[in-house]
Amino acid sequence: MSTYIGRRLIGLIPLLLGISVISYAIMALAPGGVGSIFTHSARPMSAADLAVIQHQLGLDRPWYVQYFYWLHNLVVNRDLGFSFIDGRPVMAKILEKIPTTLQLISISFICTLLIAIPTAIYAATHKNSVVDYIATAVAFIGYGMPTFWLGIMMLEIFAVRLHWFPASGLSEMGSSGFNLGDRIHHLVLPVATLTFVSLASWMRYQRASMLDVLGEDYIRTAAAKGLSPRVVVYKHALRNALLPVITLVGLYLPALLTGAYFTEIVFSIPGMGYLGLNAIFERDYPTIMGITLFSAFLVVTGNLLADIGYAVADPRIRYD
Amino acid sequence: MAATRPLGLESALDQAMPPHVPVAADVWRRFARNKLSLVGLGLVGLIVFCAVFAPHLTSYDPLAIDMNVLGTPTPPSAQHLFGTDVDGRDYFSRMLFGARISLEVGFSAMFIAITFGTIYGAIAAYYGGWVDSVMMRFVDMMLSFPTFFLILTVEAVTNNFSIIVIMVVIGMLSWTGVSRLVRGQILSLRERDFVTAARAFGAEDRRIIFRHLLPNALAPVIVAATLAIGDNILTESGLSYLGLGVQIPTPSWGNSLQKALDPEVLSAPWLLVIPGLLIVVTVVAFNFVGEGLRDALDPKTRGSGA
Repeated sequence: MSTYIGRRLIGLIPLLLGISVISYAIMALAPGGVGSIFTHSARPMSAADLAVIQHQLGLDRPWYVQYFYWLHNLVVNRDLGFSFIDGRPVMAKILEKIPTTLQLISISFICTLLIAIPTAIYAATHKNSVVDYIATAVAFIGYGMPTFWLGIMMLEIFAVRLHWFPASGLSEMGSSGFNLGDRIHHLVLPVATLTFVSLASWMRYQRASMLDVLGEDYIRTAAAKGLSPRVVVYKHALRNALLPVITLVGLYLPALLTGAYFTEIVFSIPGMGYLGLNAIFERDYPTIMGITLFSAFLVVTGNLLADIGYAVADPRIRYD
Repeated sequence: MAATRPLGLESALDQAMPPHVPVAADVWRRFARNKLSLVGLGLVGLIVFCAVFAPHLTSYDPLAIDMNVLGTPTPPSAQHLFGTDVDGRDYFSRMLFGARISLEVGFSAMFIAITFGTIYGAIAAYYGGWVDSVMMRFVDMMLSFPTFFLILTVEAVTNNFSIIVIMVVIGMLSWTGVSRLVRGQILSLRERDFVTAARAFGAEDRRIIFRHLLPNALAPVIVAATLAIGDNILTESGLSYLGLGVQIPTPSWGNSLQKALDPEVLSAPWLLVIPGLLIVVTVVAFNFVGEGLRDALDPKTRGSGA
């Protein structure tokens, strides 16, 4: 098992290198180039000044040379460079936002599983029941719904009209320190938004997986030898039906991150999505690069954890 | 005729023949059995009709500003079916022309992604070996990107928001799923006897891929294409909402929600509800059609229900 994990960890290196090369190339080859931010600013500078600044930032070298400097700096100093906008280290800017995004993602993810799995089990064991139809409808609608629109509707109904929950941020304006009740109050709408759009994939996948397993011979055997339906469903079927769903964790992560970024933007939550969108608008290339890389890192790590989880959970799979 | 053949020959022929591709009438019969797919198809037809005939369905120019109602949105009425927006423009005609944009982007980006993904997957699977490994590692890499963030980045760096650029960017960053699908299909078809026979007759690689392999891998691609249209419409609306897609004043469902959090818009709920509902209905309709096609084209379920 540890050999398997070790091999997978080494396999991550070329993957992350490739990802960083592609994102670096996209930005460096953009029309206007990285330096165009200085010529488009409110106070355009002279060509001579521009050349000096570009030389200082290394922007006058070919992009692959810039990339190697960037990579060297990242590997040796764990440094992603400085933001073009406020001059702060990108690494610090991202590290202070990551906990917020992870908090939003993990709470929503737990809520999604707590709702999706029991509903899917019920829908699969009671095919064509009212619950099954409602679950299918919710799944289709949730899949077709833009995250940002659901967020806007939640905000309009529960924050603006009913005043039940705050409309933005993570804590009351002017409050100092951390207050758990206040934090929960602020997280209800964003978490509900992200959970609803995630429910679709999980319910459908879990239901299909459960139906597959319920059609297996060993389930019929278990039922035939007189076990109660409860034992058959929860002890024999569920454990096997959960297996393929573990893979979905990895596959679903990019979508979950995107959803979280949109949710942060609608509810003005200062996380990675909020930081990333501002960086994109301000053409703050070092920050965009950092966020792309961190997002990819989260996805790749998630995939790895899902694969390891699968190997642990399924005794038939042995990677030695 | 078939009945007079000895059994062994019959099954040998089955092995050698390309998989049975269901004829159109057969597909339609099974598609129509599912009411939801029919509802989806009807809605798609209605949306396409509205988009195509948009200029004939409204007497208002979607860009024209009525100075009398500028700044104060008016609720839906007989004159303005969906009311007017903050800039005093008829919301109904903006939504109609928005449907045009959504479908244009949805279909074009789908064609780009499907064409590229199909050729990519077919080449990887047909040649196999190290070509396949290298090509599929690249797909793995693309799948690790949060695609939407990459699309945003590309949109931001190109700084060009023409609809063509939006279509190409969405299309070129969403082909990976299709390439995996086609690769899987072709890998399973590649070793079949009808392909070996074609090769024995001296057919070139290109002919084998395009004449023998791809047509037989078509069914899942059609399903993926239908579902991709819905996904692309969602992506476009997200881009336009953030201001990195279709630019105001060109009407789009996504960019109508750009100012959603302004006080004047929050007090005019129809401005928020209508574009969102249109997006949901359109995407769900394409998904219904896609699911219906999956059931109708899937050989595994064929002949079971009837």
